[in-house]
Amino acid sequence: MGKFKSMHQIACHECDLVQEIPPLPAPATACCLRCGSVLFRTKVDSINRTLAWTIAGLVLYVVAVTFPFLAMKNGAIGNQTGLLSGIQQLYHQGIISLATLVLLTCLLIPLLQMLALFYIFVPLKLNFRVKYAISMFRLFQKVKPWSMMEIYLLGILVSIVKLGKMATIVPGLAVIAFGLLIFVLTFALSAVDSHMVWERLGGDS
Amino acid sequence: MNQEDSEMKQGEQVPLALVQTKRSFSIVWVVPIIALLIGGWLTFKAMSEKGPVITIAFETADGLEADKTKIKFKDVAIGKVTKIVLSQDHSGVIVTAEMSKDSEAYMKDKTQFWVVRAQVAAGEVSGLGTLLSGAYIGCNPSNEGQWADHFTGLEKPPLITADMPGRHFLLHSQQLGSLDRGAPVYYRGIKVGQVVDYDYDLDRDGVDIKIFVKGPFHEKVYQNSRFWNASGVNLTMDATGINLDTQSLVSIMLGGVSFDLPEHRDRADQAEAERVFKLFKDRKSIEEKTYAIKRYYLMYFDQNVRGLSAGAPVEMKGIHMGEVIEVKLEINRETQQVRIPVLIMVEPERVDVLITDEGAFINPQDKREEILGDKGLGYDLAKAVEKGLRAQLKTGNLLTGQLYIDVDFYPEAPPATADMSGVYPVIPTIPTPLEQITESVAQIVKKVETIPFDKIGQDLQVAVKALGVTLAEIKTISGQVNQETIPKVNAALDRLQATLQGVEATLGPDSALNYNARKVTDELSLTIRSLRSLLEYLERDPQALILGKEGVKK
Repeated sequence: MGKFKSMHQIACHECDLVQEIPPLPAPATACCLRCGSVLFRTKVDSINRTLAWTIAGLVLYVVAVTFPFLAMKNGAIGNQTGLLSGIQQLYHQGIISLATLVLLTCLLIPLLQMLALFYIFVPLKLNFRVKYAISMFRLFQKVKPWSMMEIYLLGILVSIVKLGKMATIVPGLAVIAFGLLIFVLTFALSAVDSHMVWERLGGDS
Repeated sequence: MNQEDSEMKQGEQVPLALVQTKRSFSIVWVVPIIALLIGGWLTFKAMSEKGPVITIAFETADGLEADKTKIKFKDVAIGKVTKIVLSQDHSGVIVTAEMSKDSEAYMKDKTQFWVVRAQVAAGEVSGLGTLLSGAYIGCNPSNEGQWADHFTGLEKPPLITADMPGRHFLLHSQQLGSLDRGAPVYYRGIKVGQVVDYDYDLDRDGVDIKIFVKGPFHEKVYQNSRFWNASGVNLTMDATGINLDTQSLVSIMLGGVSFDLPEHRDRADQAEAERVFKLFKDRKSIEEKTYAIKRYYLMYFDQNVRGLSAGAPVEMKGIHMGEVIEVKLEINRETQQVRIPVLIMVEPERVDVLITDEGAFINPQDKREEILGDKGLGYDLAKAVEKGLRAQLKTGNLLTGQLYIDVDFYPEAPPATADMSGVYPVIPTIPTPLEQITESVAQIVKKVETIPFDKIGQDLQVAVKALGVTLAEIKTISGQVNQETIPKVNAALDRLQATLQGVEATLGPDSALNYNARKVTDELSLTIRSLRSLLEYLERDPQALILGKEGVKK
């Protein structure tokens, strides 16, 4: 899979020079003749890697959502939250916009990304076709900047540090899963070879 | 891919080496496998750790909150409330709770649940922590009984948890007194337990009080231990005086129960759990033995019985024998005489009877039945009355004027017989000492009255007259003496004087007799002297008797 089946032309993003790309060996980078900017990279084992990381991400996602996230304790008062119940609490406290934002950026969009990858790459891997694969990939590309799980985790880390003096904070399993999910998702995204995907999908259509 | 390569080969006619890309297993698949393994393991663990889901019915959900309220045993959370709904008939609430896995073994039908809220009651403040954290559901697990997943919550926390060492006992009482749940149980002033529950006993028309004595003190409850109500302040006033008895401040407010062995009593075996005891009304009454056998006697008093009330002691020589049951008044319609029948109760077991069998004392216990037979008091009553058994009212306490009945033997009392014909045998009575004195005085006065003072006066007169005659006679006699005897006596005396003068003249110092006598004695002494010199000479020279004087010879 490391090579393109035929040579094709590509316009440089920076200087718009149209050039032909020669067949590339597996780990290689195609650079612009004129400005030297990276046209694209071939990715080793892209389909396998993307799919593997995506599946791992989905598992972690399930763990992160179902298991308790944080437990706060101060004397007799204790409170335990999960990812979903935290959002629910935000909602009940009337901060609906924030609740929606968190729900979208931290839960729904990463889920959507992973599901989209799964939906696209499983057929690629197993060589069959599904409907709406192209629109799905388009959607995937669009929502990509809205996935902000790392920001959520950062916020939690800040709160742990800040609240640490007031109460004992016990990180739950979900925090670890969530943290891992961020990396796994990053790996999955970085393994996606969009040129290849477009080529395969576009070629098929 | 291989197909494509071969196509290219055919098109260009240049043979190319066959490129075989090994479709080996990509290492990256390890990642989702590990993730799946971990996720699966976590899920399995979470599922297997999930304990039973139970429902508890409460009257109210006051202080309970879904997903927040915990179920705690010894302040360790063993479950969490997940849902609170109204019961179908709206009479209460049904609380659904998720228990931890390890608590599954304790979800038996004996397990108790109750809501712990802050509670401030006399003597105890509890659950203050719930003021901050909110109420929680307390749990008292029990591993007895059948597995259950629906429970009925208690409205009051149970005072005793199942695992506490100790024993429950039941106390029977006429009245609850000032006892309440949680009232302390004392053993020698140490709090060793609590009143757990009480209930009215329909059959017995009394109160059943359930107490718990915690270990190791439950071992101090013997089969013959006595429990008494140590409640509050106990002020009694009876023939022995005024008695004020108090326990600790808590028991004054809450009441309490104490137990101990009666003094000088050997301990019996340890009391088993749930044993029933009688609750005595105070400390003093436990020391009194309880006697099963009671005998009733009647006695009639004629005097004022003010101060004699039911419950007044009946004593014999200062030993408590029983008590007064009833005091009444009887008027005889015929004679309009008033008397007071007093019914007393005597416990004959208080008396140790010495009975002899062929001269040896027998343990009275052996002949108990015979002694305690109908004769009662351990005596043949008729015989005892014959020997002077009488009842008497006596003042027990001068201050309060309380009376008691003293039964004793008065051999000098007027004879009486015990009336055994009525429902109760009647013991004859004698008046009280004060009355006795007044009676004796009256008797004396009566006797004094019967003395015939006027007759005595008359007799005296006669006697005085006779005395006068006698005196006259004496007078005449003395007159005779004066006239006749005395002159003769004078003459006799004169003559005696003359005689004595003559005697004096004869024997006086200047008398001739005296002179002659002196002369004779002089002569006699001279003679004796010369005779002595002769005798001395003869002793020295006896031949002089024959030969004469030698000196003369020479």
